[in-house]
Amino acid sequence: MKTSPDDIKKTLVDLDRIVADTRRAIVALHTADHLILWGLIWMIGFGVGQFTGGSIPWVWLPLAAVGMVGSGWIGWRKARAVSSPLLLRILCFFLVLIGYAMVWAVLLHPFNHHNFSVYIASVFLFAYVVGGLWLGRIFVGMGLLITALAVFGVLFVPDWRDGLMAVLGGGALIGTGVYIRRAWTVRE
Amino acid sequence: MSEFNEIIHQSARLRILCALSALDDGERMDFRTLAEMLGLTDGNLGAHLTKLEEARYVQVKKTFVGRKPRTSLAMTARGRVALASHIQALRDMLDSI
Repeated sequence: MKTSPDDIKKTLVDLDRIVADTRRAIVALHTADHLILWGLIWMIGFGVGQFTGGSIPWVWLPLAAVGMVGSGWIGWRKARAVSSPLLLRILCFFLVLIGYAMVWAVLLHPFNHHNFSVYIASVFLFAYVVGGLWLGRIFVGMGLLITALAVFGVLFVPDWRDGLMAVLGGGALIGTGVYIRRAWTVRE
Repeated sequence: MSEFNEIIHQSARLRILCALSALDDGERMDFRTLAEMLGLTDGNLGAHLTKLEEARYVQVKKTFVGRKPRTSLAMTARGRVALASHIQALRDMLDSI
């Protein structure tokens, strides 16, 4: 077999790239649609909050229920593309997340418009930072960005806090989901 | 240990094995998902998988979800050893030139 040194070098570089790209593509497969779904939920929940004077639990509870059913369906569909023992860990993660959300809901009760918005942001922060420890820094970055937006909104633009979260926070989630869906593929 | 492997060295088969090598233990990838990831047609991927399965480098599992057939793929331990050996052989060739 005649193969030039350049061909061999290129082959070895390509092989490393394919392995790394495949791992990222699998992460994108399991996360992109969840980000888009929760970005839409975020936009609706905080959008309604902006026009009604603040985030409202009776809007967020059904939205969260829709999100969890939607995420469950997405997870089931994607498991057929790449089945993994990690899925059990992901299920445990969601159970821990629900526990976290419930503990703080009890501690912060009764909610007002102010602390409910912050509560929602903290739940998402927990989800993305903890999830990011498994899935990659981009998700930790998302969690920190959302927290920064929430803090900025509370401190500097309290009257527009929910609108800011809807547009920038929801937009960031959707944009990240669309980006990794398109960009995290196995390159030619 | 390094051994140049003519079966693996074919471009598409090398890419298939590398992609499957990215799966963790216990993970399996759907046939269509792999074809889309690598930009291969179903026929092309099927032909290469047949060769790799004959060499026992890939495990092909066929099941049904409802009435729809589903094919899932994973690399075998033999396949991982063969790929690692082939990659080492390529590195050795580069070092000796």
